Amino acid sequence: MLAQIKKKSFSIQKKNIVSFIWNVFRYVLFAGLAFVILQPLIVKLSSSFKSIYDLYDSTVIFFPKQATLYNYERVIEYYEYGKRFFKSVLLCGMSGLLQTVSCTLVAYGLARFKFRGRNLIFGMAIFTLIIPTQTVLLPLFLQFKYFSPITFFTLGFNLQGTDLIGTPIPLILLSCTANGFKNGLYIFMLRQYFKNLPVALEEAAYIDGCNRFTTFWYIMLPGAKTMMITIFLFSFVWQWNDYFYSMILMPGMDVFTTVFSKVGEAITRSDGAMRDTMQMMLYDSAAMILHIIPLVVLYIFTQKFFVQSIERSGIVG
Amino acid sequence: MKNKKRTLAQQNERAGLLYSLPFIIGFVCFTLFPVIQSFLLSFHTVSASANGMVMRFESWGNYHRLLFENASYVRDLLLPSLKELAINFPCILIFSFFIAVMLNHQFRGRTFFRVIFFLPVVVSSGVILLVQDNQLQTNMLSGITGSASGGGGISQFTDTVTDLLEDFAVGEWLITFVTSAVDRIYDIVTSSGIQILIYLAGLQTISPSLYEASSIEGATGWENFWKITFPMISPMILVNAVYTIVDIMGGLNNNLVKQIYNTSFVIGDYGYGSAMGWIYFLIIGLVLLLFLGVASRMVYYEDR
Repeated sequence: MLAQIKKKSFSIQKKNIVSFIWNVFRYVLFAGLAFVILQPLIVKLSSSFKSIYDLYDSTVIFFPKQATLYNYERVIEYYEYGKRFFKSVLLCGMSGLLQTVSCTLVAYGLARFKFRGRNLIFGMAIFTLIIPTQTVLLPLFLQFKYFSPITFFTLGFNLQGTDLIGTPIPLILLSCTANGFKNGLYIFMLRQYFKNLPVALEEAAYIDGCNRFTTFWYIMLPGAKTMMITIFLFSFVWQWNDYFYSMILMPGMDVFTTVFSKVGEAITRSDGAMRDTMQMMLYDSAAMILHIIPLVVLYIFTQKFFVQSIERSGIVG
Repeated sequence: MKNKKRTLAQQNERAGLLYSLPFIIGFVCFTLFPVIQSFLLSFHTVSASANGMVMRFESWGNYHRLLFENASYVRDLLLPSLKELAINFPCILIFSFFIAVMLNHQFRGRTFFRVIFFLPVVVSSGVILLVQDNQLQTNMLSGITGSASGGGGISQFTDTVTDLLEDFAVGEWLITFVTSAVDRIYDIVTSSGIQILIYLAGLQTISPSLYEASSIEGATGWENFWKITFPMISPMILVNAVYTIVDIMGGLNNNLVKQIYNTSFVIGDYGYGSAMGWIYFLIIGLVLLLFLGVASRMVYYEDR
């Protein structure tokens, strides 16, 4: 009897030790990985406040001795930050909203109704995800450069029509039809989510006299709110950071991504006589921080929904 | 009765088509036609002139040039991309699974670490990654190191490790191996965000009652993992595998992708660029098909 109890308490002790070691291991690993993720951001942040003297001072590592806002001033001046910020938010918000709505509709249709060609349509969504963007960008460019209803059927080879390049219309069209950047992924995620919501809810709604649209609108949409916010965050962020689509379909637009990659270089060139390539890096850091601050703020506000949407997707088990 | 049932099915069919109509239209206009057109373009030499484009039919000329005459395409672009895929793909898949399983446990600070692990999805994608990459290259060219190299991931840490290893006078190959492994950690961690998210979603759908039942039957944690977690999560592994392949192959800092962009839009040789893209696309498709063919047999689907 005593031996048994002893054995038991020993095994409990062993369990505690194992779980303690496991805990320590987890925290050490996670802290290390968090460092790997955050370190470049911290370096950027610190060098965005550095003055050129701090760069040549080898005792300065993270905290600049002669902290300055000069880099920010130059970048904000070059960007015309206020105007550009407003337009970027408008563009990304709009395309994010449209993509969320269109992808939700399509995903709901694919998740809940059995119809011929359903798998084909889902396959098409995956296809949009795997085709390299670069191969379709030129035909897309031609389509929007010479846009008219017949363009589609002549495969874009007729060179007459309205020039839509440089306007937000191509982006709107792509977003409305769930064909924008990475929309296949959103369709996939939302479809998975809808599949996991209980069918009983809808059945109850049908019995109470809802039709196929009102059921979707009043019953399913509120349930999918968190997932939709997650999708909105994704599409906003990826539009904000998008390079190829923006460079080719809207080259002249006053948004961040069209000029972002050349900010430091351009400002350094305008410095003229006092040009210093080291200074370029400081401008770039400041530009980077200014570029991601809106994203980080948005992310912090939406991350609650983000985590919820993950947890909710497991509602039925 | 039978009649009524058929109308319900028909109604469903109509509703389904109606919901997916926007996508079908968009797919035909903005994906299918451009794909066909770029396929046609890849058989032509395209040059811009005063009154629009001039296209000259080349038949297999572009492809022949890429595969047999221009040695750098296969050697410097295609093979490194595939090598990159072969190394990063299993790493990302396993790493993100590991992290997701750990994040799924209850522990203090879980929300904080979740926020951190998804942060790269927000702050190192697209143009940011591209710029970081470019800056790293310019920094290396101009020989700037230490605190000044702002964008280079964990390059500072890599430098320290390199110094340390050089002090120990170990072989050159070991140094390159260690530094490339360390550099890779950054790549892998920053490109695992979405995968962790998808795994977590999958892990949450596993009903706790399964674990309870098997624990009562006397299964250990290890057995639970292989007999419950792993089969239940296997559809998500498949999804993540596909996403990871696509993500690595289509990434902005992939040299081949950059080269396609440069050839088409900077140099203006659209036909040649399209041919490059098509060879690449066919290879991705082949890799995906092979993978799906092998993996989809091992995936367990629970019938709902």
